[in-house]
Amino acid sequence: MHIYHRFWPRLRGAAWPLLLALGLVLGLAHPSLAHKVNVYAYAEGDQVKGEGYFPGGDKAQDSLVELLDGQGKLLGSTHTDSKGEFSLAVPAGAMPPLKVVLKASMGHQGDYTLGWGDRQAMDTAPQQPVQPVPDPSPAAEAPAASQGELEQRLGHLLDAKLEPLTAQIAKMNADRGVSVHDVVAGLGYILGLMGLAAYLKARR
Amino acid sequence: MHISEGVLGGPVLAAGAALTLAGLAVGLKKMDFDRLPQVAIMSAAFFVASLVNVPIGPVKEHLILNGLLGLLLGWATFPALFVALALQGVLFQFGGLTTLGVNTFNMALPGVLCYLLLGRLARNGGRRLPLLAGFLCGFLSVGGSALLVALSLATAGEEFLVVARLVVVAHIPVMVIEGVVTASMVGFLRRVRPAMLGMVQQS
Repeated sequence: MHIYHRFWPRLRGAAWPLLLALGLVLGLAHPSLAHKVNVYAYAEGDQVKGEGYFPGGDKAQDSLVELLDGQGKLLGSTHTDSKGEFSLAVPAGAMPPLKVVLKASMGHQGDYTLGWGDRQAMDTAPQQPVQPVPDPSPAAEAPAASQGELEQRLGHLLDAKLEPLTAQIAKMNADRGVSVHDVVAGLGYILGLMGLAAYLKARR
Repeated sequence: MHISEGVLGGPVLAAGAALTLAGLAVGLKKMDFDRLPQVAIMSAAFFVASLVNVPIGPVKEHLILNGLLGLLLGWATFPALFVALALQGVLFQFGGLTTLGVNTFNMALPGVLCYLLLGRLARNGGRRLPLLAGFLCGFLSVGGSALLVALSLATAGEEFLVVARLVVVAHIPVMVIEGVVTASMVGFLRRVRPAMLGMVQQS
């Protein structure tokens, strides 16, 4: 009882800092920040698709998205939908690398540059029907699809099958979350700067 | 409230950098080097506080602590925030190096103003007044920073009243929470470490 009376007032005073410290620990386990907006994009056919989101997972809704070419020329713009997603048509002959800039409210802005791989995906995507090649094998009586048609269908199928994967990879490229290393590094820098300042002051 | 790179125009960035440099000069000149560790600790607290997100209704918000820094550090808030924001920019990609000046100024000035206006009350008032001063410090510093952010964005072509309402309304819950946290810290420090508030230690 004595101990309770002696320490409780202090403990009560310390409650907020303790809560803060607890929050810090819990917060570090799930770093989710509303300080910046992330955007990623990938090419599909002659479209650039992508998504804008805040690191907590909240979607960047109704945000302006601009598509720029290698020289920074504006190729097109749109707004994200309620799921934070957008798609933009790429004009033929656009100069790579293409860059997507997303402008969320309150001064948040993010960008993502599409790499060469994306550009190639765009080039090889079937855009015009390929000339049917005469089928040399007389074996099959079954619906004989020409090779070109087959390739085209396969291309579409692959595009559809691979879309989640492409999106995921693009997202991983864009996403550089806060790691414990960063936090420790920052704290170390602050300590080091303090030491430096103390050293310089002591020398004078 | 970190403004990203590429949002603001060159003159605004330059003005922010110049104002922050002035603040840094005053801060370093006025800083009592015996309190260097305190400045560093508060800088570290600000650095990590932005990682702690508390869900408030539909949005997640985090503590800013610029009012507390202002109250405890006075003009040294400028160097403390400058270092913390620079590290957040480099390590976390919050804000950025070109916007460092504007962001530092937006965060630090309201804290320093609160220190100048309310610091004496927080140190010398009776039993209740310091808590009120602490609350106002936390509340007004966040509000002031929100207004400065809105003002900065207005220079980039956004309608000031629209963006100001947006930023300030978004931060009202944070303002209240910061007020409560700052008031608690003032109450706590007055009892446990009055020297941290710049009070003369009674022995």
